[in-house]
Amino acid sequence: MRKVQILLLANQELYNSLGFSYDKYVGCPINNIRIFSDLGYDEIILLNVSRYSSGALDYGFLSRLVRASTIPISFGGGVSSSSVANSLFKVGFDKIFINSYRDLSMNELIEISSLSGAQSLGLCVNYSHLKDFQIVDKIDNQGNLYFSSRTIHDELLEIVDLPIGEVLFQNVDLDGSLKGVDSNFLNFISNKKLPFQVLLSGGVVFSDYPDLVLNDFISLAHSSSGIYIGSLRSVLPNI
Amino acid sequence: MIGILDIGFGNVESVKRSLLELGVHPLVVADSLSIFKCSHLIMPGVGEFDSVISAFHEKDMWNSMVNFLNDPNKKFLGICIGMQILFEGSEEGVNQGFSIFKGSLVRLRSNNGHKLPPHMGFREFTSPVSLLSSNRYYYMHSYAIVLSSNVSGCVNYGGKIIVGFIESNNNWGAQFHPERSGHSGLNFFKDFLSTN
Repeated sequence: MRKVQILLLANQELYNSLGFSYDKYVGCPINNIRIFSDLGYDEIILLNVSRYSSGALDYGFLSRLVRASTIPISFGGGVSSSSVANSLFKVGFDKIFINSYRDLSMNELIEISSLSGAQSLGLCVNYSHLKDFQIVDKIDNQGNLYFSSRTIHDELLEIVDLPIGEVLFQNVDLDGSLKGVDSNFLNFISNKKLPFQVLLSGGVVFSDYPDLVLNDFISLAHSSSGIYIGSLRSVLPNI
Repeated sequence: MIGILDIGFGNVESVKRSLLELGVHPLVVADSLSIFKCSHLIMPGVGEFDSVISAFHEKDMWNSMVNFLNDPNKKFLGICIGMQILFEGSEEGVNQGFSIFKGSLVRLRSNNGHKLPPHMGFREFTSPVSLLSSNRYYYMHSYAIVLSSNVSGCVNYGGKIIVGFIESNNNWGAQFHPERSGHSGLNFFKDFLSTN
C-alpha cells in the first residue's frame, strides 16, 4: 500500500477541505511539499481547485513545486487537453489526473497515455456513499455539488477499458473527516480485478488499515485536512 | 562530463535536480554529437516503447547510442523506459530495442491472464545488489521483464518476479525511478557516477 498525500492548490496557496468545501488556508505549497517528501509518504498529489484559481496554469510556479519534491508528485485539475498534459509532464510531474474522462476525447486520452505510458495517467472519481454511490458530475463556483444519475458501478463499467493507470476515488461525504474510509466501498473494490491502481480518499486514517499493507493494488490518500490533527492543527506560512 | 539524454521524453528536470544536489552540473544532450562529450550518460524514463525508439531514429541518434552503449569507456544508465529500450523488444510496441540485454518486456498480467494494475510505489529488492548502497526505490510501470526465479536486483509485485535493476559491463538499467526515490535515489546516482 502506498501512503499518498493530497494537497489542494488554489492561487499558489494550499487549502483545507471538509466535505469538498475548500475554504481554509493551510499554508505554503513549497513548504508542505518539502515536509511530506521527508515524512515517509510515497507520493504527493496536487489538486488544483479550479474554482478558486484564476486564469491559466502558471507553469513557472508549478515547476518550483515539482523541484521541491523528492518523491513522485502528480497534478490534477484543469487538465483539459493533451497539450496541457504534455506541458505538465514537461514541467516534471510524474502523473496527471484528469477530473472527468468525459471532458476529453478518447483520442486525447490515448495521446496523453502514449506520451507517458498509461501508468502516468489517472482519473478522479468523486462519489457520495450517502447518495447510493452517485457520482459527482460538477462542482460550481459556490461549491455546490451536482450529482449524476450514474452510480459508481456504472462508472466502473465505463472506465475499465480506458488507457489509465490509476483511479482516485474520493468520498465527498467523508472528505476531511478523519472518520475512517468508506469500508463498504473498500470491501467492494478490493474484490474487483481491475486493470488500474485504486486510490481511496475521504476519512483516511492510515493507522486504521494495517491489513492493506500487503495489498499491491489499493492505496490510501489523506486529503489536506488529514495532516492537521488535534493540537497540531496549524498553518504553515508562506516563505 | 555527465550527460542527461533528452529526446523529448522523460523527466529530465528531476534527474537534473538530483545531480545538482550531488554537486554535479550535467550537460543536457539532445543531439548525436553531444553524446560523445559524456563519460556518463543518463536517460530518464517516462514514455512508451515505440515512441521512444522512433525518437532515436527521427533525431538521427540511434547509431550514436549504439556506439556509446558498446564503448567500454562510457557508462550508461537507463531509467524505466531508458532501461526497457536496452532489451530486444516489448509487448508495448513493434520496434526493436538496443538489444544490450536479452529478453522482451511483457505487460504485467496475473497468472490467469488478466492485466495487473501498473506497478507503483516504493519496493525493496528481494535480494540486495552489491553495487548499490540501497535496496528500496520507487517504481511506476506497466511493462516489465518477468523472471521465473529470483536473482539479485529483482522485486516481487502481484505474484510476479520483476527485474528492478540490471547491469552489464558499462550499462546500467533501473526499472525504478531514482530521481523520485528520495535519499536512496541520490545514493543510487552516487553509485553510478562512482563507476569508472
